[in-house]
Amino acid sequence: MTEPRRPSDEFADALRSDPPALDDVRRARMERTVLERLSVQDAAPKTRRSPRTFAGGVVVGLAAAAAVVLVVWRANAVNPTEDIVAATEPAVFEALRDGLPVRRGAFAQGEAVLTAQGQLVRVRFGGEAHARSTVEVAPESRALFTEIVGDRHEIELTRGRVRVEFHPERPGMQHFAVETANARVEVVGTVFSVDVDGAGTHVEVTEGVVRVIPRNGEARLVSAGESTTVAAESDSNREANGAEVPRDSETAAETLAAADAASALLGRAQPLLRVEDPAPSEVAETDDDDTLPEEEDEAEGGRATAPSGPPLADDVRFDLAMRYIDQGEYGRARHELLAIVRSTRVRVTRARAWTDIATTYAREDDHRQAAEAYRRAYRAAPGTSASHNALFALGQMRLSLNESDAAAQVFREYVFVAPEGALSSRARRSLCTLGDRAYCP
Amino acid sequence: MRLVSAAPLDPESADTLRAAADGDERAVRMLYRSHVDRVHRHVARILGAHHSDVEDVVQRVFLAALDGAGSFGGRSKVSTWLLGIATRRALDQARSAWRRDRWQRMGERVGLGRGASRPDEHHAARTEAEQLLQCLPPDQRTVFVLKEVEGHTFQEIHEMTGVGISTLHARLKAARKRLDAKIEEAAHD
Repeated sequence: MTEPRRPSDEFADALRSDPPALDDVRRARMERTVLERLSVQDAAPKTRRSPRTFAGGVVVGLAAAAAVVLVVWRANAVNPTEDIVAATEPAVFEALRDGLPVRRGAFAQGEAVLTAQGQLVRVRFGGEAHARSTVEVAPESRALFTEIVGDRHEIELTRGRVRVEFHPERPGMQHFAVETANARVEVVGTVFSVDVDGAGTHVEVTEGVVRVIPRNGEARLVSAGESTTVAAESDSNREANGAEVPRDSETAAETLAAADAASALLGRAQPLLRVEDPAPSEVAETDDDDTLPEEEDEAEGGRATAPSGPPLADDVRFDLAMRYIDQGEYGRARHELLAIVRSTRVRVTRARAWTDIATTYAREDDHRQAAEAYRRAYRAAPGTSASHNALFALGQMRLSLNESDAAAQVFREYVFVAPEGALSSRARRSLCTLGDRAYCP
Repeated sequence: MRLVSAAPLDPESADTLRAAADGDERAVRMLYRSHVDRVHRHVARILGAHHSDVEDVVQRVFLAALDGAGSFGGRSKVSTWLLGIATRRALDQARSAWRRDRWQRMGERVGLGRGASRPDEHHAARTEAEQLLQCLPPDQRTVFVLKEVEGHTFQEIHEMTGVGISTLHARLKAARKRLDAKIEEAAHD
């Protein structure tokens, strides 16, 4: 005889059907932290460039790209027999105006597409024929192709509409996602379209099934022939989503505008594919504000953030900073992270921002600045694990600077404030290595 | 730069775990990417998905695993062993939060006003289901999640937590009783 179902059984079923999900940003951030804590060297050889050289390279590269776009667009000439597919290229694009092809070529990860009225860009990728999967960026749209290499494909759509045909070669292993200001649309193989406007994100599925994950609220499955709309976020939604300190005056339109600003920043940092004529301001290099505030109080004083346009939410800034760090653009990453430090009232968030700032300096081998940033991270949120991790990292930085006494002092402090901390045994080992026999096993 | 083997890695293999502990970046990434979703889900269930320490605990699990890779005897799968570490770490954190919240509730009851919550928790949002789960003491919550939600056997939970099977039975019974009462109460409201 089976026992009757109890309310707790129903509850367990409900929990099982909606497991806590780990988003890609947090997944990547934790991976980076784990690797850094383990002091694992990057297997890929790094090319180290000074910020000045790098900035110069970006300006030259973007100016050249803009010139090419301008010339090609104005000439409006396309050789139909042009070999548009290079087997080693991850993707190719074709730009059309009023239905007629006007330009085609290779398409690289990180490129942004902006289309004007009557223009459409079709990007094909996946498989040798470059035709297994297609993304069509509709007229008057803006899409950033953040990831198109490997098994993950991702687009940030900040304006207009994209239509996606995704047919993976290895179903279940390859993923495609479209991210908008208020939702994430995930698929494993299907045909669908995503529209963004002031009212929200509209998803229409032609084939297969997609999962739509609003920034706030329940994920939902949308099957072929169905459509759904995720309304633009309100302030309360943002708060419920765990974002920091909502701004009272923020409206849905401003949220979208903020996302636009985020993409514009990325667009300036990378090759920018514009079907329309590029305006000079779009390709101009911005100044990097990568200096630390003199005093922490100054950081708390609400100095104006440098990027123009509506203020960005902290999670958007963290996302941007992470992308910049991954691209080796440490100055830009610091710019975003300092803006978080100045704007947030949440201590742990500030500690995390300082920790990421320290990471950027450490990657540039500026251990002195990295140590200072770790010190600020530690002071930002005493008693939290984020602070303890920063303290341990500060000790490691002191070691890198050959300041053994200072390192030992820091490790002792770590053992004192976090005797059961995740890195406590490492701190004790370091102290032993530094000659403090009291910490030797 | 480290030279690493190009041979395929098995995320459940003790060799991969050892390679990761020795600093082979490819092995670390493989281990992390293969297990992080499950470890995260596990920790988030026990602590609450919006708890501010979830991310830190997940990181600690991997660091602790790589630190203590030598203690992995190979009697279980690497994933089960990792979940054991995750359970203990999350449980420690949950107990600490539970104690802190209890003092806060007690303070409110004796008229000391609302205790100061940590700022990072001030903005944390919780779903109703999560709130309901958080009404259970950490030990009961853990066994309920592992047994009823994640589908582990008592033997597996015993291996993960080190708690005796009869105690686990008792905790599960108490958890279900408490949840049933809370759900009924909510339904009447």
